[in-house]
Amino acid sequence: MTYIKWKDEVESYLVGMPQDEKQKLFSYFSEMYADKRDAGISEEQIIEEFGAPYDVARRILESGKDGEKSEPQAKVSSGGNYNYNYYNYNYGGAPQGAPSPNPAPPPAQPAQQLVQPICVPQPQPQPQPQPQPQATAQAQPKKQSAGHIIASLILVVIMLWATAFMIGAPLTAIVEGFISLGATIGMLASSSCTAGVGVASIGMGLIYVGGGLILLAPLSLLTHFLWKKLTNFIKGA
Amino acid sequence: MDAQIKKGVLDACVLYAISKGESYGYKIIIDLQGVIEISESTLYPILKRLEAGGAVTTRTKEFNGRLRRYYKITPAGLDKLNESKRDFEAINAIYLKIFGGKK
Repeated sequence: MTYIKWKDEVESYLVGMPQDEKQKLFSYFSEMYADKRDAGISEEQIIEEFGAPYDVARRILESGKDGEKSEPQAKVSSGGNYNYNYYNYNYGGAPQGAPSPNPAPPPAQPAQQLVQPICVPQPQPQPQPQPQPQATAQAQPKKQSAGHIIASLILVVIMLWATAFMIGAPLTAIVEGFISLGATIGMLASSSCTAGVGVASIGMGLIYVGGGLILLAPLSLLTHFLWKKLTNFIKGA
Repeated sequence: MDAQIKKGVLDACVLYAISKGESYGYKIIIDLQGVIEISESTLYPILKRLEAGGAVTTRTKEFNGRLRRYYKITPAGLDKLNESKRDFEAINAIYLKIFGGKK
């Protein structure tokens, strides 16, 4: 396994960990990796010393918890799911009066193995990642501040307005262009306008339709991208 | 070993390694070889915890064209290390009284 693959796999288990925390964690491991490479250790050996990705993720998630078990989420695809375990990791334990986390799934291995990784005194069998149902992760509540909620609401309103403008404007131009073309053809057919005026109107109509069609695709993509970013922000990813 | 005791021992070991001078992740692990074995993924949360608790300060410095994070012990960190030393002496004294030095 390469370092990049190892890193990607560790990251896949850190569901719910804020991006900046992940960045700090992986800059630490990248620095460690570079130092070990400088010391002449092979990539394969370094990965072996770092440990199995699942174990590393578990250790990181467990680090803020005293004696409590913490299982990394098993590669849940939606990054917005909140990991209660990480909440503890981040803030050194749930605040008083906070709701208890959901019942933990059946242990993947004996409790003793949960303690061993802290000091790695002896080799231990590598536990296989335990896939957890996505419903478990979704059921875990997400803690958000009032400021975050208000900012999210404001951004949603702004995005609704921006979407209406970015999608509505080219669509309106297309519709107006077609109306203009239709009306001009009708007027030319009934000889109620001169050929010069008719040609000019058809030209304008084509510009509207063409311009609308050209703008519609990039603006749709931009809108989609912005909504995705906003969704991530709301989820706190 | 009890998780809390182990946590205290590991914190003290890392503080001890840093107390000898500004250090970085890989050097800390190397310095502690022969004293206690600490894996990279165990060291990370310890350093994070010590930094959050004000026991160490950090700075990033360029090294060989890349960035390296250096850790330096603070006066609060030295106090914590001395406190750990006293705690371990007290624990050792209790151990000797109970078991009389026998294993």
